Amino acid sequence: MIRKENIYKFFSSPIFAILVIFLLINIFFIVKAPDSFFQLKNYVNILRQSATIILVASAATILMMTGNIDLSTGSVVAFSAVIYALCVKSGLSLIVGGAIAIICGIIVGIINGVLVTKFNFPPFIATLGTMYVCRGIALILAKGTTVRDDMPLQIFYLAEKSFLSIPIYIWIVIITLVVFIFIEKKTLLGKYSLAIGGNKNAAIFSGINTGIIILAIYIVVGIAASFAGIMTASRLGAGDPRGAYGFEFDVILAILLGGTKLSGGKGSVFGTFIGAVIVTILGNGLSMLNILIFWQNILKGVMFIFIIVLYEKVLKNIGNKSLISLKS
Amino acid sequence: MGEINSDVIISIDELHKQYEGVHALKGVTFNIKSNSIHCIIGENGSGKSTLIKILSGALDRTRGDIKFEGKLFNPRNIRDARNQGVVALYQELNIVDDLTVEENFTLGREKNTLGIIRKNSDLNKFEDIMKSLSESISLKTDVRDLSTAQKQIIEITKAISEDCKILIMDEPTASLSEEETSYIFQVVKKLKEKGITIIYISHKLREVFEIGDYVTVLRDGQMIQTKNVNEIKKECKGVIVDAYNELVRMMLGKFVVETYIPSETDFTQKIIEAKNIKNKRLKDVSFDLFKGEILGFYGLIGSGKTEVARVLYGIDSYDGEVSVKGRKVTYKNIRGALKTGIAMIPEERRADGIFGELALKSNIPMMKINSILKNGFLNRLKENILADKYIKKLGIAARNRDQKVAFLSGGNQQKVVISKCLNCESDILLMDEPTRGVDVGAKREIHEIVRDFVKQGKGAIVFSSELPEILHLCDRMVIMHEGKAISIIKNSRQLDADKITKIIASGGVVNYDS
Repeated sequence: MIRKENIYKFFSSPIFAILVIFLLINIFFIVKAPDSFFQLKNYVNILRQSATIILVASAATILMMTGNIDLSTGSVVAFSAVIYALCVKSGLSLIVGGAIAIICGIIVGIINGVLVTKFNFPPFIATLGTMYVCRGIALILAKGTTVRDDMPLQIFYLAEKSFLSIPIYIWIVIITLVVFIFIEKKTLLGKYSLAIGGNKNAAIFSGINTGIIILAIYIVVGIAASFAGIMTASRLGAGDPRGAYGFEFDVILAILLGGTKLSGGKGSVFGTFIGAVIVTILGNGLSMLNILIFWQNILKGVMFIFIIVLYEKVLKNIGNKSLISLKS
Repeated sequence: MGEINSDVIISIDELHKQYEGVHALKGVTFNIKSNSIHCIIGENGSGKSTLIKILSGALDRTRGDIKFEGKLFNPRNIRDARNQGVVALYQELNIVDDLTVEENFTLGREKNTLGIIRKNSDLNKFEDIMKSLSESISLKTDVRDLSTAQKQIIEITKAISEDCKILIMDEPTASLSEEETSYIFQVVKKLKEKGITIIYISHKLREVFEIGDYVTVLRDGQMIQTKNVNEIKKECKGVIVDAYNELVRMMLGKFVVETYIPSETDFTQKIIEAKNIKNKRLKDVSFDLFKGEILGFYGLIGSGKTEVARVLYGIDSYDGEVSVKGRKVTYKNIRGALKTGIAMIPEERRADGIFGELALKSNIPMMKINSILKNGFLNRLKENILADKYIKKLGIAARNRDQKVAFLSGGNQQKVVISKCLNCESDILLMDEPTRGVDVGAKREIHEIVRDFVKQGKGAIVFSSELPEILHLCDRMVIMHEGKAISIIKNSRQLDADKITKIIASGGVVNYDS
């Protein structure tokens, strides 16, 4: 009885739906571009391309589970990339430069978190504000141009070196998934995030310190975004204050594709991972088919709306049907 | 039966409803007489929700006939049933708080010229109907300023303005104070005068005797009995308590009477001592809670009883002194209260108590997450064991521990909230309206849980606007009125509702005896 129910639950869950969609997209590209797409090299490439989204979106999934949102991630990526590049340029070691960039990410996280929890700003407004501020600071620090001169060669190591013959970027993806799935399933942060997103009042009445939890998660997202900034700077060998435009929306897209609810109370880091890969694969595969970037955007949008409708209308109905019959 | 028109308006014949695996209605047959107030009672799961959903067109039946005014009644959907004159009012109100009364009436049928709203001529009709039901509402008021009862009047007005012949009311008084309840009753009686037939669903059996003409008792999907309320009264020679117990017997299939059972209170040990508590809503409240005692706070909505609970639970600030176990406390938030050993079951179960979208097993440890940690991380095995323990201990009726709490019945949801509080092993339990919207059987079980709790040398404070609950459960009761504790009365089996009402009416002669 229980087992049958669980199977039913799995088949009507967003995770199952997105896995099917993931598979269909793959089959489509394998058929359309058999020589270039279905190659181990290409898949590794896709994972590398999506590494920064996976990192930030995994952290932001936990945040969205509480019913919060962070729009400043793209700006923080650019901001910390510029800081990192400037530090390295001035002769600081990569480690010190990285640490400074991450401290900047932590500070933005604290500002976001304090605005939301102490001053009761709606998350959308608070992080929209820091989004503009961070972008502005990045442009001022970089004097409006990309910080690229006098870079040591080692700056490319993170993006190009391998460890145990697996690229470091892939290691980052693996570690990200392990850490955030662990946070989601096994720690108080994950448990309380679901509780806060599910029913904030009940969480407060249960004695859960909702402010500290939300603040902590904003800081985690800040750290993830600044590390993504370091990764971006390592790939380009430069700090681009205009980089990562729209990155925050790719992050949100990946999270929503993964079945996390915008209002919180429900979410999955694994789903976000698949969501992030789908976003990247669409770009990768469509480029191989020589489809213009403008069309790629349209397809991305249509795909997104289609999948959300699938979750909200179709799957919900299937789920409700099974529940109603057992309710009365 | 002489005083009412005895024509049958609805006849239900061998009505069956089968969901996958569940036989919710097993051949229900009874008649509803025209222009009567017909009550339907039964425990959760007895099939009454299914029955009214079928009547209102929200659900299809599996088999059986319903005749409405002699013709077969097969509504395709809610809209269709409404057009034929059968309207259901559900517990969740269907009105927009941000609009005025007038705007709510015309919502969805605004008359317009090129999108610009014109004055609606139907409005006069609305106003007439509304005024005939209740004088106190004005068309221009914002709905958010109205009480729940007044909002219901607006819903009722909307319903009967559309030529409604049968009005189905699903627990209209579940979240109302006594005052508001009597206000709704007046309206229901006026509806009857207008010739409308009312099908009235309630958990509060008292209400059956107050307004019902007929009562149908459902149990396990079967119709147990349909009776004229006056006949029941006659059979019991006018003794309401006996009539009440008769209904309970029909509902549960067994005879259970609840009476006050004194707790073994240790009057030498105070666990709470509150002196001269004052804040915006409270004017001087003092009381003690002893070890092993159930203390009751009784008062109408607005009397300040919920405010006392909020002060003790660290939500509201106050002047005055509260000592717990002889030590003055200074906590200013809920976490502080929990650390001091005070847990609370909030009044609004859905809004403040449960995590509806989460599984039962995830809800239970929420107030003391340590109970499912192993080496600092969540442990699934411990979580399961904990859930099973409380499912068994409190008799929570759920399919399994993974079921979402939102899909449990009111009584079982409340048991989940209580489990949450019991699990945090506090010494003092504050319970605000612990059995609101809970059926009779579960009510008794919850009262038993409270008695068990204080037996362990702990203390409980029950805040309730239901006098019978306070009289059955509490050892002493604090009567609240306009923010003041006007009297503290020791309970005994001789005490009844009349005496308490007299004390309130007299403004409360303080006779503190313990």
